[in-house]
Amino acid sequence: MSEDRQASALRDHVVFYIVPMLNPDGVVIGNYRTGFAGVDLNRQFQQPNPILHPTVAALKALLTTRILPVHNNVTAYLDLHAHSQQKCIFMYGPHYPLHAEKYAKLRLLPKLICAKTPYFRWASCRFRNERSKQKAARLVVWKQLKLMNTFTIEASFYGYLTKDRDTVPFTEATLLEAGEGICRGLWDYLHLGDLEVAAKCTPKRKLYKVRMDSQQSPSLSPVKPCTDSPIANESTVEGQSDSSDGDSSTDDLLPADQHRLHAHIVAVTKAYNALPSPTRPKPPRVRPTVDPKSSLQPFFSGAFARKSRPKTKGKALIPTLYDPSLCLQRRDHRSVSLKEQPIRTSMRDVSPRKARDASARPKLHRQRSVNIDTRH
Amino acid sequence: MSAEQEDSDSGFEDHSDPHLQRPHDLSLVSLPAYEVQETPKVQREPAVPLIGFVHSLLPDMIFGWQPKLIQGGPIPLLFTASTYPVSLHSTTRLPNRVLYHGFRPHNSLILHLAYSTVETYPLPTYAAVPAQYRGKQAEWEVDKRPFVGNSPDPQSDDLEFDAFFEGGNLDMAVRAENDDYDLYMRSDANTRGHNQWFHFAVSAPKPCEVRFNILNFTKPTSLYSQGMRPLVLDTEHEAQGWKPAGLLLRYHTSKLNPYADRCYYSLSFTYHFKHTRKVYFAYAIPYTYTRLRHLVTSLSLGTDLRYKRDTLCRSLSGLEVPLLTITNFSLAVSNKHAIVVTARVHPGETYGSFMMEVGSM
Repeated sequence: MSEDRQASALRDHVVFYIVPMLNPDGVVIGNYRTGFAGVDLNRQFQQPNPILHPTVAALKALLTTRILPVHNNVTAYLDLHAHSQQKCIFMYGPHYPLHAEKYAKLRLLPKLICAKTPYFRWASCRFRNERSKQKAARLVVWKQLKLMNTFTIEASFYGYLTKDRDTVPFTEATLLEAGEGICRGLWDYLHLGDLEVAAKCTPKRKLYKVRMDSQQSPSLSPVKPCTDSPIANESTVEGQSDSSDGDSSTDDLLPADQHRLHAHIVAVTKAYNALPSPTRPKPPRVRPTVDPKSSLQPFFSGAFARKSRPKTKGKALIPTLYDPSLCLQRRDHRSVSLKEQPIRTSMRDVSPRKARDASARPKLHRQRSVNIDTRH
Repeated sequence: MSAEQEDSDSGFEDHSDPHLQRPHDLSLVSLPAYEVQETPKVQREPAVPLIGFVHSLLPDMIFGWQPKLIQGGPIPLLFTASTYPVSLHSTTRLPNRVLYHGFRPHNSLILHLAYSTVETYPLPTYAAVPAQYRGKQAEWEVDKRPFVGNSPDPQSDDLEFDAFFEGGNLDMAVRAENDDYDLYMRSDANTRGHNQWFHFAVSAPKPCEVRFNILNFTKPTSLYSQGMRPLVLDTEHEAQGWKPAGLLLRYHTSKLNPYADRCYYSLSFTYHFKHTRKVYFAYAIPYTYTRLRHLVTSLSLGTDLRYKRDTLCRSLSGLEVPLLTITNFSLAVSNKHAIVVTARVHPGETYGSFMMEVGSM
């Protein structure tokens, strides 16, 4: 992690335990897969022999005795590998059934990492518990230590696929960049960006609180907000004008102040997102240009062009659903079927269950009676 | 037009009639003569022991005996488990001449004595060599190869090979017909396979074009058949780094297969030597233990409080396994998230190390 902002944020919130070489014997002699014990060390995690597989045993001891008791949340276990059959970089993870709660949770981190770099390929990621890998690091850590995010990250020995499906061989620089992408994915996964924004907003919120206290009971708050800073000046001026509608039910803030705080957060996040990436500049966005002379253009720009609909928020939708006038319209529309129903003269005819239903939906019941009245 | 005519016109025979398919008279069908042979009485020989020359220790282990692991000594290394038809390329048979025999250390002490220097890594200390190792040299320690390293009497136009460095892997180089060079990878220590990683240097006496055949890959499929090429580091242009090179590349079944006990695959490629300096070939960009040590020491040398360097343990042959802890140590550790990253369980998979390097930089 270099000196940039995301890296320092990661260092503030995360402890990285890196074991960079679990099998130095094999590296020195030039093996491909095994150490000096003559076995694949990634198949010895279930019951490692402390004499024959000391590195594996020590790693498990590190996890169980030093990391798991100290940390409340061990976020991820990543095992870095290379793959001799496939292209791009991808991840292998454990299997959860489709409707399990963790099915989507598990896929979040790989998805975020894949979004960060072009070298990762989401389509190649597999989430399975292969029989041949029951003793491999990721499945043992997942099963025995009960961690969810246990992945092996596999980088192809060849290269990555571009958007045009050309294969570009990996170099040291691209692999380093891919590693950086992993860090950025982790940064995203842990919501560190949101935390940063929140940290920027907290001093202001405190200021509002102090002001509120001073307005409500001036005798109890001798400390007055300092009027030197322009922000404090602003807030006091606006606070006086808004003091007439003193509704401080949510978050101890005036509605107008809430609005301002929200606007501030939006502005900060916008500015934050607009910042250039510290290492790789964002490529300029190229819009597809349509030839004005081509005959297709009026066709697409006319009636068939997809118009962007104004987005309605959830809150706005709720009143229209239960609008009684709307319900009335619908009832009138289907009034033919209503005519065939027997007319109820009293509530005695209605079975108790139906009556309960009717009480649960008073609006509908009212509609029905209204219709009956109109028919008479 | 009758039905028969139609059939003859179309050229098809009517197979729907079962009488046509089945022979009417079964006597016409000649059956093979059955000769009932009487089984001769076999004189049973005394039972042959299933395991010859070797005493099985399995019964002893069933009754509770446990083999003792010799601790504190160097680890013996065996490479003779997988045999190649060396007679095919013996020095007596021309035009096949063995040009190079790779380094096969008998044990881990010899290996580390060869590679450890001040610049690379410290020599692991062993306890006194156990009594089993003293005295007569073990049978597997006797090197029956006529020479190790380059051939003592090369021809003027022979290439010169070198794999005597950390992470190097080349077991044998043979000059075959048509001026091809047949290369063999050393299998992993104490195993009989996993031949995938090669890393060696070649220097040509004069600019020339050479065809290499690496004969003993064990994986049936490879990215080589999808367009991957071997990686080459040209020492004349060292700043360019490792680059894919090689022409007319082919990954196919090996020509060893008629002679070998298993199925091998071979990679053939042509390389054009433009100068006489060393050219390194490798399966992937190498990442050595030395490079890792330099990285770790450079991180811990600074007065940076973000890194903590530890030794996780020592490996089987006594090398230090470093553990890096990276965080902002001025804040409390317990509330932080922990992320564990491991790499290089498989020593040939070097690309994991490169991805790890960012995290620790």
